[in-house]
Amino acid sequence: MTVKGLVASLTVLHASAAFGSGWTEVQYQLGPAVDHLQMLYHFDVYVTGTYTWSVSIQNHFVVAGSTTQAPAWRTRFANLADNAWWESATFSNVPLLRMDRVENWEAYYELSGTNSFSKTDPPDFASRSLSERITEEIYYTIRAGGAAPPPGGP
Amino acid sequence: MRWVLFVLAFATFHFSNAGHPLSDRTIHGCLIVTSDPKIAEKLDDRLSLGKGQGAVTKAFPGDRFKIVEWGRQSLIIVDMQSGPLGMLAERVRLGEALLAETPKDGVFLLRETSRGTRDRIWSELGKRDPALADQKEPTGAVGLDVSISMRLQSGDQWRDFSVTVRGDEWRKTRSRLQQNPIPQESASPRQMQDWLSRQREQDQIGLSFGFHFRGTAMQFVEEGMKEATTVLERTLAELRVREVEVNRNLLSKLGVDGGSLLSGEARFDQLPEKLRKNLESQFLASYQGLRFGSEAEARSFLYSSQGTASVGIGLTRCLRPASGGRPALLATIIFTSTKP
Repeated sequence: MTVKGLVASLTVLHASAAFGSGWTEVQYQLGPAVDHLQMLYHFDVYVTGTYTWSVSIQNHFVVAGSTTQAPAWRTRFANLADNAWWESATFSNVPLLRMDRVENWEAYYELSGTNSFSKTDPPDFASRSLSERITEEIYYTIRAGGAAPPPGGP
Repeated sequence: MRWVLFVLAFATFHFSNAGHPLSDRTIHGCLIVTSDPKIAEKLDDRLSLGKGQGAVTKAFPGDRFKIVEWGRQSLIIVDMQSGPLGMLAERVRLGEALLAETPKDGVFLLRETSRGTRDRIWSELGKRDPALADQKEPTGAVGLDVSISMRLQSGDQWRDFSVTVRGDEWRKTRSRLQQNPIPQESASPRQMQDWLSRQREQDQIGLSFGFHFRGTAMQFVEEGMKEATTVLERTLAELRVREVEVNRNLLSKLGVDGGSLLSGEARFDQLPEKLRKNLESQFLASYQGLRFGSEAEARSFLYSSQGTASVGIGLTRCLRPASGGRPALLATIIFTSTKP
């Protein structure tokens, strides 16, 4: 075996070890987490007192696509998943003043990606996609009454 | 020496110790505007009609009362802490205190903030947190938050919406606040009760003006009311100018480009591009909270709407729950804004 032949064999061996059964990774794309801010809902306070309310948001972590276990899927793509769950926050006995406006906000990120493989003998193709939506913060803001009266005159 | 005496006499003639302009008129009528029941109750003890203007004004110190001459022998005395005047003046004072010490990142570490400013911040937060009042040495941090409020209208539909302005910087601020949370105490039933009665009393004071006529003023109710409302409007306008100026300077210190919003009002399409895009993206992300059936419906509304906007400046803190756990709750109180 020539030196060149040895190197070629090692490369194949490496590819087999990395991706299994001759699979070659053709795409690995995991986008940056994209931050979002959304107002969930708001309410106006008509009587000074204490208020309790809850907010719930559905999050998910989904890996969908080829069921084959042959390719060496990257960690986040390794298992098929269809997880959805509710993230909740309860604000208890919050003192609020008449004319306050309460806005509930959620800071969350979304992340998506693709991991694909192909092989030639026999030809095959496998691909998985990732979709992730995770709540980072649920909070509220209080807009003090009188700070910004609605336009339009009396 | 004679010259010195003359100067002193001149000073006494024109200004009281409290800073009121004085004249030698004898005062026979007075219209006092206040919504504080305690002041109203003691009005007749305070007033000394039939005496010189100096004697009358002495009972109403200038740091709280504005005194304007009315007619030949009357005064209008406005309690600057009454009704909307008091609320507005308090906002201005808080804004001015913040402005004097605003750090670059807009985060006030309370232990390092001057006593006066810290007290004002604490008092603002305490309006909505009964347990705070008993914390003798405030700890933690409070951040300045800037948001744009909009009322958008399309046909007969309208939506109120607000958007946080400080994008990337705000993420850093939030993280800094989380590192310096304010301990969250549960208010005792007694604290809660006290807070409720105090706030309900403040509600009454903050929303009303009481007009009290004394002496000859009783015979000129219509004229007195007209004069008094002119004084009130002028005083409110002066305070609003100061408020907008303070807001303008605060925004400038925080590096926020409010564009034409800084003058108090702007249409949606006049917003600086970065703000407009930010607002669009958050509006669409919030379509459910805004009671639209879909994002497409929200987009269609947004693009066909017209609206006015104003800038709000708020105080944000991160609370560390008394039960432990990570400090996660950010509560912002928008205490001031330019007027839509």
